[in-house]
Amino acid sequence: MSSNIMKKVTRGLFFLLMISIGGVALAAYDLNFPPPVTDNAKIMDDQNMFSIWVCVVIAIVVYGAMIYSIIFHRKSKGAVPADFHESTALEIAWTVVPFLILIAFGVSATKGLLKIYDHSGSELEVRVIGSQFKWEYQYLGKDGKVAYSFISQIKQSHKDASAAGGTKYKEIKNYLLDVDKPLRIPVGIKVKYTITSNPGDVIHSWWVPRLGIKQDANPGYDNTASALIPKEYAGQSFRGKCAELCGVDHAYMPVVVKAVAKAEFDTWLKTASTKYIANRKALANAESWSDDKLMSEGKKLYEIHCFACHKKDGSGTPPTFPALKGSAMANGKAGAHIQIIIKGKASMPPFAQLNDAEIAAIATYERKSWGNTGSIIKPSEVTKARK
Amino acid sequence: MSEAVAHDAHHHDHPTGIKRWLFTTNHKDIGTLYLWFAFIMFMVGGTFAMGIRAELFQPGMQIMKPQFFNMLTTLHGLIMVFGAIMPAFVGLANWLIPMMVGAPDMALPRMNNWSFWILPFAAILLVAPMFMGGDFSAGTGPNFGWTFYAPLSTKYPYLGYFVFAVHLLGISSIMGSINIIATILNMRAPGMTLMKMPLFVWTWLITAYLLLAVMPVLAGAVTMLLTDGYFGTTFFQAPGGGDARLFQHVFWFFGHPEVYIMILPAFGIVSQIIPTFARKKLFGYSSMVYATASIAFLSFIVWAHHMFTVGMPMAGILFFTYATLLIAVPTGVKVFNWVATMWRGAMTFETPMLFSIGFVVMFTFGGFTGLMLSISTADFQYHDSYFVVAHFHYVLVPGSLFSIFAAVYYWLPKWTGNMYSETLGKWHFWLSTIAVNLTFFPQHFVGLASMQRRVGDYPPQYAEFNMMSSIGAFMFGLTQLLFLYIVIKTIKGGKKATDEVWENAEGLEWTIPSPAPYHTFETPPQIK
Ligand code: HEC
Ligand SMILES: [Cu+2]
Repeated sequence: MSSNIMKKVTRGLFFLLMISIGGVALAAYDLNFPPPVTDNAKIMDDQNMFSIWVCVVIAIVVYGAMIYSIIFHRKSKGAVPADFHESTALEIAWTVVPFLILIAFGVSATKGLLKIYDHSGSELEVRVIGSQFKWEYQYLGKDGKVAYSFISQIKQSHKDASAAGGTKYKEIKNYLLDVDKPLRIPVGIKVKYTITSNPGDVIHSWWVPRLGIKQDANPGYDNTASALIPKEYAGQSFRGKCAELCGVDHAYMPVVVKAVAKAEFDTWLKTASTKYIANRKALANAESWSDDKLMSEGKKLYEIHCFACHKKDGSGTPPTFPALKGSAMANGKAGAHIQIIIKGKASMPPFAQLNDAEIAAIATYERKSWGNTGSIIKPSEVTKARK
Repeated sequence: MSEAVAHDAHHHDHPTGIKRWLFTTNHKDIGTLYLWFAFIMFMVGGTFAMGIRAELFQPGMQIMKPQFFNMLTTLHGLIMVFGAIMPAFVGLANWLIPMMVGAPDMALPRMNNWSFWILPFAAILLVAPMFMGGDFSAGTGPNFGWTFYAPLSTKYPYLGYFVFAVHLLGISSIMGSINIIATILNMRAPGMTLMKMPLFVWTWLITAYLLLAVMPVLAGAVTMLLTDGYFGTTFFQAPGGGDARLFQHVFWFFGHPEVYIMILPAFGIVSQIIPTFARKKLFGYSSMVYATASIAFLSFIVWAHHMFTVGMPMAGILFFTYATLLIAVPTGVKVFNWVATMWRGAMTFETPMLFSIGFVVMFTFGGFTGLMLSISTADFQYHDSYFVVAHFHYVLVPGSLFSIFAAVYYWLPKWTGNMYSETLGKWHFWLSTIAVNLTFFPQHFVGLASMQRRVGDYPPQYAEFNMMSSIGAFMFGLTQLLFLYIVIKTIKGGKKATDEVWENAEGLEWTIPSPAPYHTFETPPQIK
């Protein structure tokens, strides 16, 4: 008898404990979607809450019935089994009622989806291009041409801290969620995002929870999404990440979207675009660049496109990613070296999207750095190799 | 070693030692082989899980390199699905189906032997690349996720091993399911009509058809990977005009029915167990059969709900949202049926019943999150987050796995002739239940708060819940050693089981002696 009471008391205490742990957790930590910023994120958030509450209600009914019969219909309480089974009325009821609930879900999903898929009225288009392990962002001008483009990747200090382990991560602000250059997006206008990945690369997924966007970046094919950040968010940053497993550095592909006032954005883009277009034009005369110029351009590009796998000092991470320092290819014939950059090989992604001057510069840099003794490569050689 | 002993004319030789197991065509022996194989794989896959949780115990790459982590998640998933859960269900089918339908053995005993003995080789091929490439810590084993999406997988240097392993697994499954279908359709005792078959037999019949339908699709998918990887085709390579999304459509056309392959037999098991311990007939036998068949049918038209963010026309997304919502209806019918069976029964709570009730409660919980995931608008946030990880672990661990535990406790006395220790069994249940919830419940929160899956390092905002999850996982892993101990102890001895084992349990298997003799039902029983 008394042991029975003890049992009940311990059980009661246990449940109290669990509930209080739950309560503390609720108070202190992120438990649900981060606060939505755009209309689309709001739709997703509302749907999430609607689903949760419907599930809670169904759970109370189902678990309630179970708990009731577990407590009262047990043999030890002298329960005698009833002999009922099969009841058409009941069976129709528990088919039809859930069906009606599902219709409610279907309707809300359809309404939401119509809005999420509506990209009309977008005033700016940004192309988001994933590649192992960085994001390229291109702002398209009114003429549909690239007005400005840059590559955004995780700050090296974060990767270093991650690899170091220990408590290094504690010293870093926005650990794993910060990039060298954020994506600037004007507030108050609808922006269309065209999301893709380089044709020879793998699948990534561009996810910014508070903007309500998660779309896969498929190699060679475009997906679209849109978002309007309301004016009051100017100055804030929204963080996201790559959601699709894309290889060794999948955890290190954060996204930072910085909301800026429209006027500020316009001036910034204009300056950036002028410089960018001038730079592109300069590439046209790359054939006559001095060796030093090729090397310095090559270093810059190498440290954007290649260092994630081959490392800044060319040491790579063998056996997965070979060292370029002392590699046969970087010290050997130019042809094979150019081919592997254009076409890729196994886990080495192709870089056909770079232009001839860029590839020539990178290849030259690889062939003349870290003690390598390969030849200089001119853009015209790359042009030939592409044919 | 073995002496050929002359038996009755129709008895075969009875080799002993290793030969008995290598050459056996006896359904009980093969069932035992499958079950032990599954348990060993469960330990291997579990070790990988421990590695994952140890790394995620706190932020920072603490004990391994990112690629090694990717390899652990990949192999953990593949081994648990193809090495542990599926073979365990096939092992149960081998042991039980002939006994439940009153047949002397499986219809195709020699093929049965073969379909088992392929498995160890497949498993070896799967993990072999771990030890290639010279540097173990580099994670050279399969490291592209258990869903092996192209083109990440086609870039993998040891793709051939992986493709071969999957082919072997597929061949084994196909042979196993042919055997199960042939046994059920041809070898039932006179008088056992289809609608008199135990539900475990029904659910396996439907599962076997699912396997027959989708394993060839999986084989097609990996073959396309193989030719993309080695022979220059470009099914999934955009530069050659292919499309990576094609892979996902093919994969999930296999993958979604696969999910039901791992749960339908579980439905069968708890439908056998709950009536026994509620001392009351299953509430709606025929509606259970129809619900199983509808789930199986629907499982073929919902595959793209795994792909809502992949880029589909709106009509596609809507179709897959609606179709997926529909699955909730027959699944609900099942859950309501189990609850109605318990209702006003006279319940006792032996270990098999505890695991079955645990199954109903926690599988239903996984069903709720499944319902949430099916609604595409919200899935844009859930997809590829820890919310999905939490969801499918709820349906697979306290779902499929708990049903396997329930089955082992329920039929072990029949297999061994000894009762297991009820006290230890209850400890196993309660420790597992606490641990499983500690492990997976917090993962809902980090998922909703937007932690993506398949990462070895994460921002500190998710640290506390990940630590809880890891503690739960270690506890769960250790608890399973208790299970091993209980099973071995029962095999070695214990209180003798009666033939009936459980009070008024229904089914032919309870009419034969405990332990079940090597050959049973050599003359078919008569079913009224
Ligand atoms: C995603 C990781 C990754 C990136 C980024 C990457 N590579 Fe590679 N690279 C590899 C891998 C893997 C190999 C080995 C391929 C093989 O032989 O199977 C490789 C091989 C090479 C080789 C041949 C080395 C040898 O001696 O065999 C060269 C040259 C090379 N890469 C250049 C580059 C250049 C230039 C870039 C930047 C434009 C770059 N890589 C970016 C992964 C990468
Ligand atoms: Cu990525």
